[in-house]
Amino acid sequence: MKRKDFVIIAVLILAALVLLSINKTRKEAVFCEILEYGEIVRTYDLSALSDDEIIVVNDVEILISRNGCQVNQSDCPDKICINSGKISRVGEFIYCAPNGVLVRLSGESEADAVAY
Amino acid sequence: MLLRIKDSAKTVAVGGILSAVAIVLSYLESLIPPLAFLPVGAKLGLSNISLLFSAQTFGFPVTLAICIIKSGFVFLVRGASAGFISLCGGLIATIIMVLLSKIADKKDISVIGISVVAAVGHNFGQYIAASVLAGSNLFIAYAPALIIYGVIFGIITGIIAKVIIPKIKPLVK
Repeated sequence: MKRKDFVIIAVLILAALVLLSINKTRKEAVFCEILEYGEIVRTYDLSALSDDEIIVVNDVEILISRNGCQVNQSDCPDKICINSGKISRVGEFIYCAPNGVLVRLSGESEADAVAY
Repeated sequence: MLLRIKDSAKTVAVGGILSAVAIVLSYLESLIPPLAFLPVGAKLGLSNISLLFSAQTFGFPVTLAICIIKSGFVFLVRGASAGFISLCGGLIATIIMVLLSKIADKKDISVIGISVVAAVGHNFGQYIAASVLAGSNLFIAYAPALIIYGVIFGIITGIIAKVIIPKIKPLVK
């Protein structure tokens, strides 16, 4: 390894730490949006949710609860969406690329005015 | 003239072998069971060794061809979305590898440094592709993880490349 290699690695890790410290301030998510091929199909206000809900969007079974979301079942080949586990913080997401389904958590809803 | 034809035939042949190596490496890598302490979808990127070798030996056109052939294989086996994500990651890694390989000697950067930057670029390329497919900006929340795992796996593949490349270079040049 040459000297510049260490410089490169140090700069990258420093950048990661800076981004990490920004991310640390992320709050618990309030809204959950479910998108199918880039279109919002459902929006949930997690704080107003009384019971866990299970919905199926394009063969992806999603569990939505007060403290986060997870994908229970999907017919995709690599199961990255299921293995992503539970998400609970603003900015986190689960994406099932083969089915084009995105579960996204946010602090405020883009579709606030629309009631589902 | 004869010499040039011989050279280009050799380039095509070795390029084909490197493409096959890249495909086999990415397949072998998928056989490694997911490790509990790693995030989902994190991969070593062993096929980058093949790209690294090509970037250092042949330059941009051959490396680009290997990258496209490898993504074409992913497209056939794992579907259109996986193919597109693989291609975007590969393209960025290819460009970084070729550019850095050109200036590596002058700037005192080794294969490991090139591998690390390419791995991080590869990760961001894949997340940009996923963001395009999802129609949503995804990668901000995961940027630190993309960089850190890019660095770790980049160092590992870089060390492997550093050991292997000097051994096979005399065979093709």
